[in-house]
Amino acid sequence: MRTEIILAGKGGQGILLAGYLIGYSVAKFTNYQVSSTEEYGAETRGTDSKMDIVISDEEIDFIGAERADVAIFMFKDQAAKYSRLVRDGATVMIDSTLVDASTLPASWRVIDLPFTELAEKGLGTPRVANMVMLGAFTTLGLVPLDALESAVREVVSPRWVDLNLKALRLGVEEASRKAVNPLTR
Amino acid sequence: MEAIQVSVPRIHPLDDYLRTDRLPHTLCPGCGIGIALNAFLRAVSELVGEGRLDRKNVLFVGGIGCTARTSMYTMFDSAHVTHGRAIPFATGARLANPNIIPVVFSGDGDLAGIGGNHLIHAARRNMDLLVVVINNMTYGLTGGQLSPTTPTGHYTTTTPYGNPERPFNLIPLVAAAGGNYVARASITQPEVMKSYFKKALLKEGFRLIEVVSTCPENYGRHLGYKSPSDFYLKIKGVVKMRSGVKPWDVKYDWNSEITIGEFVDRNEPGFSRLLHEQVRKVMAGEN
Amino acid sequence: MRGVSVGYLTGNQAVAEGAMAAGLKFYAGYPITPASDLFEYLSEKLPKRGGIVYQGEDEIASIVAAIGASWSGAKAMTATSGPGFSLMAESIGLAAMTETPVVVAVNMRTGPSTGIATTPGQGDVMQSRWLSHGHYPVVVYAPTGVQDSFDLTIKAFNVAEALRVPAIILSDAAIAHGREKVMMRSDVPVVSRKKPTPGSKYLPYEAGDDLVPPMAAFGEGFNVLVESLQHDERGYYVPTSHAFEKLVTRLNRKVDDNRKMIVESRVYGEENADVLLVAFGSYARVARGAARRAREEGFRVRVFVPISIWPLDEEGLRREASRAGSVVVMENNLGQLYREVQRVVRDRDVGFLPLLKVELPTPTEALRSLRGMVRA
Repeated sequence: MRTEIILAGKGGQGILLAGYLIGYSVAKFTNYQVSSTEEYGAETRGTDSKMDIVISDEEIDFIGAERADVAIFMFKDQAAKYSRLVRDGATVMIDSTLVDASTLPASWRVIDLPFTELAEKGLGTPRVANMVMLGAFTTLGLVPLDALESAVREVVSPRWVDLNLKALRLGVEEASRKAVNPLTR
Repeated sequence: MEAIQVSVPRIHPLDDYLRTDRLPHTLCPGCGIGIALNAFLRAVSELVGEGRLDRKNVLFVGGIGCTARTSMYTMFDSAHVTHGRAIPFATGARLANPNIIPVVFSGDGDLAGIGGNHLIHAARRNMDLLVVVINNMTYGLTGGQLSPTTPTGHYTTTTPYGNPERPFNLIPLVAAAGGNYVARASITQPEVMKSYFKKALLKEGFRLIEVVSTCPENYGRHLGYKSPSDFYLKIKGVVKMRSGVKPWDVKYDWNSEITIGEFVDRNEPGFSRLLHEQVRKVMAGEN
Repeated sequence: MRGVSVGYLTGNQAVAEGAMAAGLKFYAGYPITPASDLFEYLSEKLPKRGGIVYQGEDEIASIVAAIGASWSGAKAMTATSGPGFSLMAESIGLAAMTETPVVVAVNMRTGPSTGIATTPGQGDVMQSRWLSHGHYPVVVYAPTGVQDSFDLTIKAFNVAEALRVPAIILSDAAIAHGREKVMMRSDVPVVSRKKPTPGSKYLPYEAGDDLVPPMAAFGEGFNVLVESLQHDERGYYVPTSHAFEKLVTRLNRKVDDNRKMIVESRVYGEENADVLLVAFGSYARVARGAARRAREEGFRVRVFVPISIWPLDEEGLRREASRAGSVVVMENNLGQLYREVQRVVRDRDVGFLPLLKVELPTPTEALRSLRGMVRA
């Protein structure tokens, strides 16, 4: 079974680190195969930042995503730009602080959470919005939370590990709450 | 096929350092390269005799050119490589085995022309190489074309109306780039040249010895020297041995003076040692 | 699994890991996209294993230093991309002529000339074979992903050492910078060059029946003569037809006679397919994706992936070609692997699907183009 994931936002949002952590967790702590490719502008901040991740229980053929089953959009411009690569019926997570859910195709199953706002209010910095998102992402069942936590411990600089782990758990909590909210479409 | 055995009697004290079965060599009568090679091999032989040099560690490298071809005859680990690439080849060999003592023995075209970038960077790194530039001021092997050290106004096969360029003065060039030892010798003073070789062979870091030489056949003819000795005597007249001269005051002027002597003599640690010390520290977790 | 470490690495990192697993002791490089990160990775890792990493003043200096290091007994490599590879032309010939084991990782980018530095290309298939002048031997492997980058680098070192030839890993920007799970075995088979018996009379280019002369290192007292000119067994310059024929024949036969050890290819998909799609490197991944999409449409595509590009697995290719409805080569150039496939598959028409792209085409795009040229 092959799952294609697109993760996109603008430079400076920690997209590539988040994608790396997903891939790292799958590679190191599961029996699944994983491939990823990155696209980014020459500038570190402000330009497109996009990662394709393919997870599969068998050898992966094409390494990119062309009809993503899961998409995560952290900023509105990239949500618009890459929507053509997301299939009908896909599960799409958005940072509702920066992406307006009403602009997205109706065929998608949208999970909208204000990652940036949650990070800012809950942890005092918008910089861990990517980690809050990753926490929420684990509730989709593709990558176990403990695998991502282990990945954070191995990959992230020691002084940021605690903050990142907190952010992950905040994401899990918020996504779980959202999942039982009957107002979610 | 039955090999024909030719026994060559040992008649020269330096035969031990030559692949005598290849002789005679291809250098022209009157060529200065033989004088330089003789001085070099005597320097090696004396150091070996004094127990100060292990000849099995000497690596003799040439690129392309008349001088580079001496690598075909020397009885060391020798390499006759592509045009201009003797310095990087010797660099790799030494970095991979710091016991190797590389000597690059090549010409002005090979080292200052096509290999010029390697020359200045090896000097900048203070790479552990003894580089001997036999400067005969021309591309002799290919028939006597313009070289980067051909004096202005000289006639060569590619400057039939006179050389409109200015030549490289290698001493200030290499001294500015770096290196532990920079000297210029002349084939007209082989004992002095030998003393430079002996000194330089035992030093670490980058060492350049330029040897002012002749090319009677493919260069001297264009300059109007009727015999090799005419060219030799011209060189003898124009070189001036000076001590205490700063490298940037060293002259390279065919019409007045080509300064010879030792112009840089330092003992800074060579690149090879620094790099290997760094690796050792990294392995020990100290870096 | 014991003895296996799992990585999530880029192709470049996997090449570096493979090289270290194969015994790399000397790396010389020069910065160029998309190979600089391989250089950077080794700059950190190789010294920890006692190896030397050196930045030459240009690509020429770097590969020549690797060749010199190889003669000092070190397993040596460099890495580059198109413009830098072009500069290495004479030195590939030097390595082949002097029978110096050296590995060159080449990450193809978009050409010609400086082209586009960051995007994947496939325009250097012919260059990888015929970069230098003269008729010389070289072995070229094309990884299709990160696992291959690790495995084939080891293989490239082993072949280079066993046959004393330059070996090239012909990858591209998509694989070099893509990241995948990779299984790295610690007990990989490692081949090292054959050495002369100490104290024996040694001729550096005298080969036995296996055509590969033993290789003494500098500093071992053998008075080695490395000769770039045409030479005999002693390394002496001999400008005759006899010596020319003898040397060039032996140099090239080292590869020709050892094809079995060198060649590798893979096939994917069902037999008796409508189309045999031939693709290498990152385009092999596209082709396999296209085959998956085709299956959904009831169109049967079998994919032939040459892993060794020079030489090709000619037998495997001919066998597969004879079984398929038609044969199509898909690559990111105007016909390079295609020419070689045409030469091998002589008895039938070979279709050509050039997909000139600066990013990987999607399987859907590839399939659409394929269906446009093949009526199933």
